[in-house]
Amino acid sequence: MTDDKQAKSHTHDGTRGAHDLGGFLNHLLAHDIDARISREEMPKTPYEERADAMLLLLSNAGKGLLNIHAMRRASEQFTHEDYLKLSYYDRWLKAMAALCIETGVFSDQEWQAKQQQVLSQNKAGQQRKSD
Amino acid sequence: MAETQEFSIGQMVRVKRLWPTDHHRVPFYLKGKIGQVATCLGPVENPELTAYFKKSSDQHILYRVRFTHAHLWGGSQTDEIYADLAGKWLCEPEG
Repeated sequence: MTDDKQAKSHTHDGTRGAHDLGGFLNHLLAHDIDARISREEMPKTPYEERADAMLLLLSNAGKGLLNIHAMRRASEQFTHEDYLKLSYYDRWLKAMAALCIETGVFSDQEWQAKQQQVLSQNKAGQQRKSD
Repeated sequence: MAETQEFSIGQMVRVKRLWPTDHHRVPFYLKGKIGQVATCLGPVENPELTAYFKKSSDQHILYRVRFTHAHLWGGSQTDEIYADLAGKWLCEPEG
């Protein structure tokens, strides 16, 4: 990697998005990101399958609410920190929510309220379990 | 309006040195680099507009461009990578 010096100098100059890491190993290492490529098949969790299904529905050609370019653009608008710490499907979910708010499918207030509702339901559920 | 084809197969081209923060489909490591047009893939929808839900008949002409590892990363002279790049992102090598 002869460009590693260049990579360092470009890490925070605003010209290089958190998504645009090709060929810059030192950038990954500097952010404590595991740059190894796993050869193992990862099991798909139920929430990942639901995220996949939601994206397919929202991208439906007839409705045209989302498209893959807008999905990428929304992910690129995350902060560097968010982009690098989120898992693949968490990025999808965050991008889908951002685009749904942008296109008026639901409002930011509705989204915040729903998240609060789910969180308190989970909390109540855990409380019942421990009782 | 679709762009018309402006680069021919075998021609050397440079990827433009532009760093917009808006969505675009050119990786950082190719900017300013010189490659050779391997094939023309024809018109595609313009992702730089579609990404913002902008409706337009504007299309990009997509070219498959060959770069050597040696040029990009100082690696092997024989290893190559191919990237599909829009004509608007390419210019003459001197450009």
